[in-house]
Amino acid sequence: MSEFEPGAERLAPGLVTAEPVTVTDHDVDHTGGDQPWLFRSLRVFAANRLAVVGAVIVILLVAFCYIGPLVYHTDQISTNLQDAHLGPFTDGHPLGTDELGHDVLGRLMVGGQTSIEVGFAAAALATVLGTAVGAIAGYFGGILDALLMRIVDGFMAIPALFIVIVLGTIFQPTKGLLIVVIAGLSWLITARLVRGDTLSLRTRDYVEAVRLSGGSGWRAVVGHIIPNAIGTIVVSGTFQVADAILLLASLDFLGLGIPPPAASWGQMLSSGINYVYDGYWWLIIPPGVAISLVVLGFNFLGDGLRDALDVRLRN
Amino acid sequence: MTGYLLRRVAQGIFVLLIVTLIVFGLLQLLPGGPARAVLGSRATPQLIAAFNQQNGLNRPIFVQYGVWLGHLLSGNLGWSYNQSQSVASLITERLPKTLALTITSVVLALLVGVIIGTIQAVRRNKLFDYTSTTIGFFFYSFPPFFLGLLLVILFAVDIHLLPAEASQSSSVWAILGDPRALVLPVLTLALGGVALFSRYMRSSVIDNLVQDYVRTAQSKGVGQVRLLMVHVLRNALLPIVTLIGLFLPVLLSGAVVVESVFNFPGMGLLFWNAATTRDYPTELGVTVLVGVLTVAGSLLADVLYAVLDPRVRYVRQ
Repeated sequence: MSEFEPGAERLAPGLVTAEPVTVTDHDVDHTGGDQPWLFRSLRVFAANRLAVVGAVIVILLVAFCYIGPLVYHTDQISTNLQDAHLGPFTDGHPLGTDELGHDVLGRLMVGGQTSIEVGFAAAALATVLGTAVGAIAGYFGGILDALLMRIVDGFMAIPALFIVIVLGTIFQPTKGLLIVVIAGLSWLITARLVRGDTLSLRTRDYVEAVRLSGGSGWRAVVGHIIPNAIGTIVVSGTFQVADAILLLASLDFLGLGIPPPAASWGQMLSSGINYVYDGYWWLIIPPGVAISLVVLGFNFLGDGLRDALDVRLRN
Repeated sequence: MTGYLLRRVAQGIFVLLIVTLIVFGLLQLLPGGPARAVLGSRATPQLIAAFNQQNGLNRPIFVQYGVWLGHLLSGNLGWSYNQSQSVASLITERLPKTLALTITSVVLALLVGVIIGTIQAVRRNKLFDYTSTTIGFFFYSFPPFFLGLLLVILFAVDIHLLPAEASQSSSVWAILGDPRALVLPVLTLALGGVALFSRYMRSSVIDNLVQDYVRTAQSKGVGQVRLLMVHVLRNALLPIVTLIGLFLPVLLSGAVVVESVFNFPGMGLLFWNAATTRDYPTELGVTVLVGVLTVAGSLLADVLYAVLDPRVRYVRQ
């Protein structure tokens, strides 16, 4: 049942939308009667072991980053060169210290906050933008649709990393700017998927009814199309978080992310690379594992949500 | 068939135009505009004015775009003042090396991915299927730079089996002639692809195994191996062709990271070094080229698909 394909939607939107789009049963009552639907979705989700593993990974990592520092106090701001490059389990540093004497475990917690915040915010923004563009393009069709979709094609042709790097060399990155830039480059796939759903939804009777009774296109889109495409939107939003965290980490790794003294996982990896040959593995493995785990968690989660929300797999 | 091809090519050209518009937009974002980018940060206002006059940068923006596009079409990607060389020649020097790296990786990823995916489909929900699926998910989630670093730590630092740096030779043949130095960069790029291709191959083979033609072949007495190798494989590989086209952008951005991890003297490293030295003409030149490569790649994949699958040709007509 749980056929998971890593990032299927993200890499191969063509493959996914090429199939007949079957967004059927969400069309059910969104006015109070969606309890059974919600419960059924939750049941399918809970039965999907990978999805539960994904959710647990994400929850544990968020707890680690936000509750961790409340319990485990470290100084991540001042430099303490006397304690630089201590190995794991020395002087009360479970994961050792980095080249400036910062405790690696504590830095992992603080750095994770940046990665998670930027990831969530960028994904949320991208999802809103992508949903709006996709729904508008799909609903109104015609030249507007063709134009919007060609713009999507154009942006998809240039890998995000290239544009982000060029922008990173022009502007001094801040958290807010990074969120906007990453979101500005990641809404494309959401837009395509939502457009695909909209194309089939707009021929539904209840959408026709809105049109015939004189309701505006705006009302049809906001009141009926978007609520019924919610499964697609949530699933692609989940994958967006993973992608945004990965893109941010690549930027940090290349030195174009948020500048120090702020910490982030990608940045920790990036400074750790200078000490590969000294055998200071604790500067590389922990942040690398953290990034991989959070990406893995969101991929599992997105996959489980797809099974739980995707009507094609529901009876 | 020709109608479909023509439509597809026209669409590709339109997308390319959008790509050039995007890069032209980035050019306009440069601090101080293109003049500052070319003349450097210490250029005087007089110098900038003279440069703008000389290069038509004081003309209306759409005229500028036209001129810039004309240059692009004639292969003039600009001049890198940092390296005192034309961007086009810098790229021609590096591109073959990146192609060698990426093509080797993709071929390897395809071969391994297709084999693993097929075995998974045949023996689905068995131990091999579960383990390779889990391992694949991990590789897919590893950021390429982390994977590269892990491989360096494992194979270059700990056991000195393989070099951590690519051959620095200027000729692509010398780089290909030093396969040991290629192993780690190729592996880093290929492992994510293996995860992707095997995943799709698995579902593609499963989809095909329940088709009528398989039952027909079985009832005719076709053996298991022949059925798989001759009948199923040919059909199951079709979606993979599209996937290669879609994998291209991932591969090219992977090349930037991998080339900078392994100091591999290709186009990705050129781009990366250009970014760190604020060599804007080179940065944008590579960006345009990457866009062109991606569009061309997906066009090629679609054309190939139409050639391989007659249904596409007939349906579209």
